[in-house]
Amino acid sequence: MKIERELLRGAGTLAVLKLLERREMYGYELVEELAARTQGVLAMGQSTLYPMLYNLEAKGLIEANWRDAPAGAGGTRERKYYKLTMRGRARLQEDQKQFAALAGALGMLGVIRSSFAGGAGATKGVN
Amino acid sequence: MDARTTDAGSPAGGSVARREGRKAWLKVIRESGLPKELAACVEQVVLRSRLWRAERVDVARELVAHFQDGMTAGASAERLVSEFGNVAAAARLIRRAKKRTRPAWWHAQKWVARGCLAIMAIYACMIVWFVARSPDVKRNFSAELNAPVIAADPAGNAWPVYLTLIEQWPELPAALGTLDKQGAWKLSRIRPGDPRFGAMAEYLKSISTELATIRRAAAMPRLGFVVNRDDREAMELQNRRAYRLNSAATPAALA
Repeated sequence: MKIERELLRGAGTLAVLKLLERREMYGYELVEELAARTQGVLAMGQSTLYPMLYNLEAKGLIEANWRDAPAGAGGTRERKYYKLTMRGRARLQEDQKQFAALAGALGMLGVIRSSFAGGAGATKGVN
Repeated sequence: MDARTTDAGSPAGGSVARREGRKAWLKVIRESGLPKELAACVEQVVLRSRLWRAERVDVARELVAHFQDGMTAGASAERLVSEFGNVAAAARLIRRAKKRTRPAWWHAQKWVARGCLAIMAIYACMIVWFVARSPDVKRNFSAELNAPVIAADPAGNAWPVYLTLIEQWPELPAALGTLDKQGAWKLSRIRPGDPRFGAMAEYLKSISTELATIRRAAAMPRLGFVVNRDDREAMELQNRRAYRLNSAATPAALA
């Protein structure tokens, strides 16, 4: 399913921050993970992903470092790994709350099913 | 020390090193071993991004690593190119995003340059406006100034009295000096103790009638001077005469 760019803008950033919450990842891995874990809904072209990563880096939400790829990943070559900063972690928390509130509100309107939205409880504690 | 390092020390070697530095990102792509279409894709993105040298190298290394990961994962070059998306859009977005990571001094410089350009543009517009347009007089201040003078009784105007006096003013005795550059007498500079002071006292007595006329004119209700901007020569002549009369009458006022 193709998502409108305007809707994807905020969600894409949140998804990338969420993926980096658990561990550091490199560009191709992020693309694959996004596509696989969202069943292709949040699959984004690299032409969108890399500028997004650079923007997040400019805002200090993630940081990047070049490292040798682990053995067996196509010989000795480097990859750029991205990881969440403290600031990025705080931003992720904040964005998650806001999206939960948004989903709750849409659930109350019947735009999305309350099981997805997390019910009215999803909005509790947001404000 | 290798040959390249030695060459870079000389002016010619420096330019070679700079040229090589400029193309460092291209070297990254060419040495990556990527298939032709993928290398071309990376090259196009980096080239169109118009970033700084180090930024280009960074983007080239990352995109090369990305495609190498894709190839390792078993994806075909065609699929990777199609999944990459629009090259021009990617270059534009990457440029915009990379510029945000630049140091604060660069951003400050950019805004200062923009400010200067804006000021220059405003000045250019003003120059065009001033050159292209001609003055549009909406209010005649001379007529407004003259209206009450013309409407008033001419018998109360002092200016005709002054003009008659100016025309008939007796010549200054040679003992009192000459005219200054503006055509006025330097009588006010003659103070008690000056060798010409006696001659000036005699002169003031001799023009007592004229001085009395000046005092009478000064007591009149209005000056009655008509501004005539269309006859600038006549205005200037009147001004010069008035200045001369003033210089002659000042010692009398001081006496």
